[in-house]
Amino acid sequence: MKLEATNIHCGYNNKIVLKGVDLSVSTGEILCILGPNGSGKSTLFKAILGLIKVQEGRVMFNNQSLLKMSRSQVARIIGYVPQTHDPPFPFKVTDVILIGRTTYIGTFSSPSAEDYDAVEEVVASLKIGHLCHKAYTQLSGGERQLVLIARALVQNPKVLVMDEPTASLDYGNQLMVLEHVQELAASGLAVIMISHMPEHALLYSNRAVLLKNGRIHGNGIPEEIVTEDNMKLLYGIDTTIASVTLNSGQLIKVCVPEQVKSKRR
Amino acid sequence: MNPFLTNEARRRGVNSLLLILLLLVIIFLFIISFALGRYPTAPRDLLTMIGSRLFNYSHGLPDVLETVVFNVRLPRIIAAIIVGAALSAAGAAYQGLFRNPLISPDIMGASAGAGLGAAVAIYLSLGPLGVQVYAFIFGLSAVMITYGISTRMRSDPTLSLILSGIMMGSVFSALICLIKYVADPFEKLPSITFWMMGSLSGINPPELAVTALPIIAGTAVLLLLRWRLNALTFGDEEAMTMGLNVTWLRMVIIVCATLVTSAAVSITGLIGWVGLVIPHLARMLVGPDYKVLLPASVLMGAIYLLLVDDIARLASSLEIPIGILTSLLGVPFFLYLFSQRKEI
Repeated sequence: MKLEATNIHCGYNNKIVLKGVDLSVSTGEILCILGPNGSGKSTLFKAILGLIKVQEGRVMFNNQSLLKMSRSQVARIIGYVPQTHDPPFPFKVTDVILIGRTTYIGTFSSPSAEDYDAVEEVVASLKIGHLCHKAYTQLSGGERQLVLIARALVQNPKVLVMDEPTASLDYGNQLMVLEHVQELAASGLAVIMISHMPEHALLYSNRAVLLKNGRIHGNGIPEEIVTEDNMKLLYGIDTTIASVTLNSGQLIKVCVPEQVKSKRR
Repeated sequence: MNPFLTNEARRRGVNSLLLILLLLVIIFLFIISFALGRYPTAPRDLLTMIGSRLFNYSHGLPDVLETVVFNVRLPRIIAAIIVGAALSAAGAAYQGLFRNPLISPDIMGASAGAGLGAAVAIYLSLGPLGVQVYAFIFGLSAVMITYGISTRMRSDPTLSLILSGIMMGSVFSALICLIKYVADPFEKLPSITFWMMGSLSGINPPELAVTALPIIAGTAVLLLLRWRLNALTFGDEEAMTMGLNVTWLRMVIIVCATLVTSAAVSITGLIGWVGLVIPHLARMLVGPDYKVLLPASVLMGAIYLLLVDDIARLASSLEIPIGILTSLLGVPFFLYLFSQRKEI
């Protein structure tokens, strides 16, 4: 199964933000979108999710146009994981996750036993059962992110769209969330995520897309396109892409800024 | 059965039990309320009279008692129940819809707008239906303008909404004053002024019937859509990605919440604070899940206004308008709630 966006043009009022963007992601893959602030990453997400009007171009899932589907139909294909936030009311975690079932619940109905079963299944797979009786507002950033992932998963989507899943998380929680994302991809989801860390592309993703000023400046295997030249182009900083052998013996690439001033000794 | 599902089932069970309990309290207060006032009616006499109406036999009780019960007290008790329920349901719905626990029909300008509409209708000597229609049109415009202005303010959305609500409220109060100023001082002015104070006394059955219909219909729609309010509290974009047609849903909820508010205002005048205090109290009791919160707000609003109306009737021989009491009780109560909780 494949999600494919072709030649996307869109924007707000008269301002064009995306000027012909292509990307595609298949089941089992993680696609990482890198780009500086204001490059159009969030707009691209909104276009894929159908939140803003696409002026030109197509968004196809298995040769069906997402742009022609109802919201409810899109919700069964794409699950959206927003950045963590502070909701105005202290909902219980179970109730937050249940909201993801909206597309399966009639307009005048409330969640049924089937919906609770779906929540239970996802809660078990993400191992967040201990959070369910808590209020969402009491959770840490990492826990909130898992709950939002769970909420998207109960939609039974084929594609998961994640807006900076590690934003404002501590180091340990970042790795924890990214490992969950890898497991989800392995279990048969296509994942698109926005990130600000080149490592996320290098270490966790199968493909990377480099976005700047609403145009694509690279699309391919992370090791091939996350290069020193491209990082300079995207962020205007000098970096070194180094190969590192892990203690386990695995060879990986990392991206380190060049401008590190030597520290006082 | 696994622990998660058992737990959730228990939680739902507790919530249903609470709602049943609240319903029992209403029934209890409903009966008690007949016994309070200048012509106390014992529950037994009440049953006798209801039976005699239903099965057409003579009850042998004084006629004046029957008049008091069916033409004065019954409409008044029903009005207290539906108006309390309506204002609380509208308050809870507005709070979820605008993702703001600090707003209410008063702050959204719905009450003041409906008040102006009703005052204009009274000034023009339109009947109860005219008052109703004017109150609804003005109330709906007020909510739209308040929300419209708040979205244009470049500030914290919670604060913007409250600020624009206060401004619209002030504009509508000024316009109400203008209507009063030009109204006939011997006939129209007193009736507008007394009506403004908010009172459940002097409600007659035909008036009640005209009001009950929109209130019951609007509240029913809100109750049917209540679970979807949960999704709306997470913001429009997230709600859309979960498959909701947010524009349509918002419109229906705003129209229903404003309809029940304006219907309540058109019959009882301005009864403040109910729509803010009761949803908060309900949230403390059952939590923020609208599946339980909205019915709990409806029931608790009815209980609250019944209680306050009983106090209004008993407190002194000169009856105090209920709007004065709800403000005097509501404000300190809300401040207490506010000081008790870090997170509202």
